[in-house]
Amino acid sequence: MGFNGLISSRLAAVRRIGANNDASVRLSERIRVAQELHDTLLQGFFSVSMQLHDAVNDLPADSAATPRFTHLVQMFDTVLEQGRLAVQGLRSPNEHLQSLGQAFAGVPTELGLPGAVGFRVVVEGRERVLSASPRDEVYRIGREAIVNAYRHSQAKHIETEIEYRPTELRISVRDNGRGIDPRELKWGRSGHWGLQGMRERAERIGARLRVLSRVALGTEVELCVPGRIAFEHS
Amino acid sequence: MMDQCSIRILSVDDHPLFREGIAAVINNQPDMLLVGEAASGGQALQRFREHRPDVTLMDLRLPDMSGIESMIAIRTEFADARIIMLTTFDETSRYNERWRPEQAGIYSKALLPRT
Repeated sequence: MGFNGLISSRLAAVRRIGANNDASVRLSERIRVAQELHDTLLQGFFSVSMQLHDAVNDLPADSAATPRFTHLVQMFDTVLEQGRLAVQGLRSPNEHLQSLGQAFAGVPTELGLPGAVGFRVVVEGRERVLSASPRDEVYRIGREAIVNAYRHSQAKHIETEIEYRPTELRISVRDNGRGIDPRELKWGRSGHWGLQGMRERAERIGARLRVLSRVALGTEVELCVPGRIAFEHS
Repeated sequence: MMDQCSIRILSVDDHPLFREGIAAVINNQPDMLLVGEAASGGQALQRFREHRPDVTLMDLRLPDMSGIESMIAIRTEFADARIIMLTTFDETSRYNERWRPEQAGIYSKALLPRT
């Protein structure tokens, strides 16, 4: 190896270490945030939820307020559950040790999503090592898409495909559910599906996110990450 | 008198707000009585010795030891102690594999209470 070769491989090594450090700093920061949310918001919300249930049970059976409060309590619990899942996602520690396929395959169990839905992960092409920081974002986008499909699509089957193409990494999460109304997809309500957050994550790593949906047929969320960003180069 | 027919409960959790919720719910039940509270595994054993509760509600994560370790400490001294473990995250499957339900029921805090 010539002098220049030596220098450039050293630089590459330093850059790799730099990237790993970024990722581990981010991970520890995430765990810290998760801990704080857990200790403050979640415990407080659990407490309020318990007491609200109790209070609603104490209302006179014929009280006009009962339906309203029952509805509010249900809403509160939905928000609490979403918060709990979000915090759990922030702190999940194992995702870095597994392949992307294993990590996605573990999402429904990890988040306690209903087992009645058929879920599978398909890996196409030869698996390649992913660079640390985009890997993290790719996992989070994919997981969000899976969770969305479970929450909103009413699908019987959800499939996640990971395709290692020569020039890019392609992730697709598709379901055979009720689809998203095109107007929702275009205007605001899509915030409901967390699409904006996924788009922002995708942009941050220089990837492209596409959502294809047909009412009553299903939805596909597709993420394409250019190979030079996605794959670890030796 | 009421003391004799009530279910006597000890609540162990390091989060004051959560303990407050547990206390409010228990004290609203005619047949339950909160006899003590603890914020750590060490305190839990102390309070258990003092009050000998019928049931202990215990957070799976405590500042000085895990809820499981605290449970073992209590059960070493009081073999028939009944302990219900509570957890924020869904760790129920992981622990129930190692600890049989008859040893300790583990429940998600998110499922409390659904009356």
